[in-house]
Amino acid sequence: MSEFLAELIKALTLQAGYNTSLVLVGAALLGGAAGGIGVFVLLRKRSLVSDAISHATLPGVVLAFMLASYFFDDGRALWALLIGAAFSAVLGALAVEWIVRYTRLKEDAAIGTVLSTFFALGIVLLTLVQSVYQGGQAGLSDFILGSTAGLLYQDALLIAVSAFVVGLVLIFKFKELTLLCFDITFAKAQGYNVASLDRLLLFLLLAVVVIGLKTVGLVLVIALTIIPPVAARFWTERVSHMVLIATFIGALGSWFGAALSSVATDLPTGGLIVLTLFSIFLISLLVAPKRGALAHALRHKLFQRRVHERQGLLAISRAEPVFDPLTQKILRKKRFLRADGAVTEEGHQAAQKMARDQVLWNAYHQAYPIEALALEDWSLRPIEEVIPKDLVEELSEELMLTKVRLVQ
Amino acid sequence: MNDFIQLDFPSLLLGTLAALSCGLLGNFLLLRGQALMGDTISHVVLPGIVGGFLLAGSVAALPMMLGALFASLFSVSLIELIKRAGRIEAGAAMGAVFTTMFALGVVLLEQSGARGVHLDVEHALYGNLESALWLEAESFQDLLSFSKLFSLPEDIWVLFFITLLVILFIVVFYKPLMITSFDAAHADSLGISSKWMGLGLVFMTALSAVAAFSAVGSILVIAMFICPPATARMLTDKLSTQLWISGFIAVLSGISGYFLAAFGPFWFGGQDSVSAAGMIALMAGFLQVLAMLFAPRYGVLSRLFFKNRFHNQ
Amino acid sequence: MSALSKQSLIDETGFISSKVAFDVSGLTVAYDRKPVLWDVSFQAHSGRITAIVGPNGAGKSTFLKASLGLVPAVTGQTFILGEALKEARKNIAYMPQRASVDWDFPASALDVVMMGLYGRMGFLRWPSQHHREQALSCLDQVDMADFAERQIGQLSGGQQQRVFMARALAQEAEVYLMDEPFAGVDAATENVIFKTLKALTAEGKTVIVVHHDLDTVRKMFDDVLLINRQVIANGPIDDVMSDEALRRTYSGRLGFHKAGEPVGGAAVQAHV
Ligand SMILES: Nc1ncnc2c1ncn2[C@@H]1O[C@H](COP(=O)(O)OP(=O)(O)OP(=O)(O)O)[C@@H](O)[C@H]1O
Ligand SMILES: [Mg+2]
Repeated sequence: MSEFLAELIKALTLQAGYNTSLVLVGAALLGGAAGGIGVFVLLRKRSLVSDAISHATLPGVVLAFMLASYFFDDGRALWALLIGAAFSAVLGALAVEWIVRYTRLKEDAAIGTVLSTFFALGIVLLTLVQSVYQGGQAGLSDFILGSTAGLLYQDALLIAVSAFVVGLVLIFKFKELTLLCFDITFAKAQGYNVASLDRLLLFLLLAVVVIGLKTVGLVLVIALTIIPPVAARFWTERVSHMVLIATFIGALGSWFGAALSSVATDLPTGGLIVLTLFSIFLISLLVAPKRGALAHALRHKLFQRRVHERQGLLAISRAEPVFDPLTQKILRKKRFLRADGAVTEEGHQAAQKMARDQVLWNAYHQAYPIEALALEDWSLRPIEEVIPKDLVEELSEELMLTKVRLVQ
Repeated sequence: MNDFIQLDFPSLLLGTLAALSCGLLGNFLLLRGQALMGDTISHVVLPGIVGGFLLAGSVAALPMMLGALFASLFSVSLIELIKRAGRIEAGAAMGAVFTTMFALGVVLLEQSGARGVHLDVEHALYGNLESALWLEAESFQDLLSFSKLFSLPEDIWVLFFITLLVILFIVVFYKPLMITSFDAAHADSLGISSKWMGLGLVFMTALSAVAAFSAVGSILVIAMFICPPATARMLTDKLSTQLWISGFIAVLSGISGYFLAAFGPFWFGGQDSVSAAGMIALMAGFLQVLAMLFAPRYGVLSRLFFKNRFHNQ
Repeated sequence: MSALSKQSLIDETGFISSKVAFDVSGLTVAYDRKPVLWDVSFQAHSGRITAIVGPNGAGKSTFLKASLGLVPAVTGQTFILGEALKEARKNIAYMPQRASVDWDFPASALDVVMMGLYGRMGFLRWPSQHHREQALSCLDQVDMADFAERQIGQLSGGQQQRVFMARALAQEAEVYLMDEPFAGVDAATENVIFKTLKALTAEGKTVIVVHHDLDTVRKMFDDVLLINRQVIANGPIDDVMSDEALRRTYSGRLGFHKAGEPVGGAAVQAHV
């Protein structure tokens, strides 16, 4: 076990040989680029387009293999296979667009159609190739699951460099892409060509999918573009932060997963990378302070108690009975109610105070409806804790005045 | 002829049954905007199947099936949780979960591979339709003999009953399925719970995906959940008609795909057949393309044609 | 109180004849912690037609949905004719806001109306000729019988709304909750739907309608619930629809908006 750890640390710190290090750097660059792009894809609500694109690469890979074997005698040149992959992925993406635009089928059906039909074609071609080039096609199915084991030096370099280039494009087009996702009408008004921006995004997505094919395989490359952005979503509400976080998560997960697979050589790289990414995602889902599940549940519980206590006290102030069992329980705990349901002295006092607070809140809602609507704590906490003191005084003076006027 | 009934017939039956059960259920997934549920489920069953196998220690159908069912239900709950807790859109939540489950399956598979058992990912992806055999049969007359029919492979029987179950499910729940798919809020106001109906649909989806999966692989399952219903969608505006058409298309792709895969290559001078599951899926896709282009009312080309004629008048 | 509204509340012998058919108490609803409805209590009486009026985002749709248990409420209860919600489903007909369905769905106008019958039909029962005729007569009541076999996507907006109205009729409920049935429809459709609703109240049913057009509220409704996150006012229309109450409902918004239009406008910061 300790030996395993030592090996892992060696790999993580780039001391496990030149090739392994290159693979690690390539994987991290790829993961980072995919994560960053994935954020925009997620915000455009098109995450599963990568599903269609990645499955659509298979027939291209196999055809490229056939052509390359015919013309160069070497069907396994990575660049040739990737060009084939890119070619059929573009066709797949176009097919999705075509179906959505010209038929009555919706995007989910279009994605499903393209991914299954293209993939089926790939499989049929693959079995055909298997019977023609007995054995020569070994490694083609690596594209389905990914493998770094047989990666040559120049292949790893190709992956690292292309991922780097994609990252650069992302940085240069950051502002425009953010605008595209955040406010498409504004982007249009600003004179940006929204359609071409969308196409650029699709193109970047396509690029990372194709680059990732060899290392993580066509099923799991989808994860690289989806999991980091979704994990990042839990930590922030801002697009720019989200891109940074997703890039970081993508790079970290891929780095760690690739290192793990360089040590545990019998386990597939793609699987390990995705499981690492998912662990990061799970942690984000649970503990992220802003949008995490635990924080959310806690806040909801608190909120529920506040509402029940408040409404219970308001009912008391109107001399109405409290029926709701949860409300009763909460009021009893605070000693506003006795066990037999009678209101205590403290209860009456608290009810008085609460009634006054509610009147003020209502006045505030009347006077500043838009602000009140935007306020998270409207009518939930004592008004003095939420809005400025002088405003509260102003409101209560107004209330006094109206009362006086009414009396007159 | 003997060859046919012994070698081809069981595979043909298996492929067609798988196509039928998935194709019928797909209609409701499609109408609910959940077309990719089939895709999701056919990926997430992998760790369940491998897990069931690892626990049972053998390639027995039941533990693998239970494992797969468990994995699907677990994944669906996880997707729901992610959607709710993180306010993440459905597609992304599905994508995150199915890729992870598939990754888990792949890793587990390598583990079991190390123990020298043949279960591999290729098998999971495009199945092994061709390996279904009915050696006990001697002629077509055996189709009428119960005792002979019982000797059909277990896979076929399982799939047969699941297909019956799917049909029964659709017949019994036709009304609630329709109303919850059309207007969930209205259904709920009537006391017909869209949530429970949705869960029931997912459960049936998982069941038929799992039953079909081990025989025909995930690719055929995904294609059948989507293509026949989508084809039918292009051809009609009536739900019951849509169900009939999708069933017919599923069976048609099953039969034609199998024949093309098994015999097609020989017509072109090849020596080996190609993947039958892949070919069936491809046929389904092909039929859908035809429908998208030439459907009388909604086909792209037909619409173009009618528009021009209209303009010329 | 005008003579008219008094009449329908109190019969000749001076007893209150209409009973409370729809009773919501203490309803608070929050989408993720932000209260959208706050402590709303409201009663509607049988034989009367009530408008729910308030600005966009006031929580009108949420009120209907939460009172039917379609979205979770933090607190609050609903009683229909004295029964808890669970027992009373059959007595409610709810018509959601229009945008919520897929108009490409493979269903004809008749199919949609038949769905109104599903609540009362047994689980295993297939629709019979009798059900078809029932559905057809509902379509006929909204002048849509000629379009029974038309796919719903191939109807105009107004016609679609009539079909939904017919679906509600088919439910033969006691309480009808309609979310903006008049939004974006032509004058003829408005007329048909309004007449149908009036006919329901004449039979002693309770009708509650989310309504957007302030100009027509007085003409069409008996009672009104003014709502903006809280109940602003509630009661017979002539008692309640004062300028003051309307200003409080729409306070801070420049100009009252018409049906379907989003409210543009800045805070006036008017003080009470
Ligand atoms: N599912 C939801 N999640 C979060 N917030 C919601 C949701 N539905 C509604 N809201 C918010 O709740 C408030 C009330 O919405 P609701 O739809 O009830 O308003 P409404 O009065 O019906 O408005 P309209 O006149 O536009 O129909 C709005 O501020 C809206 O943004
Ligand atoms: Mg509304």
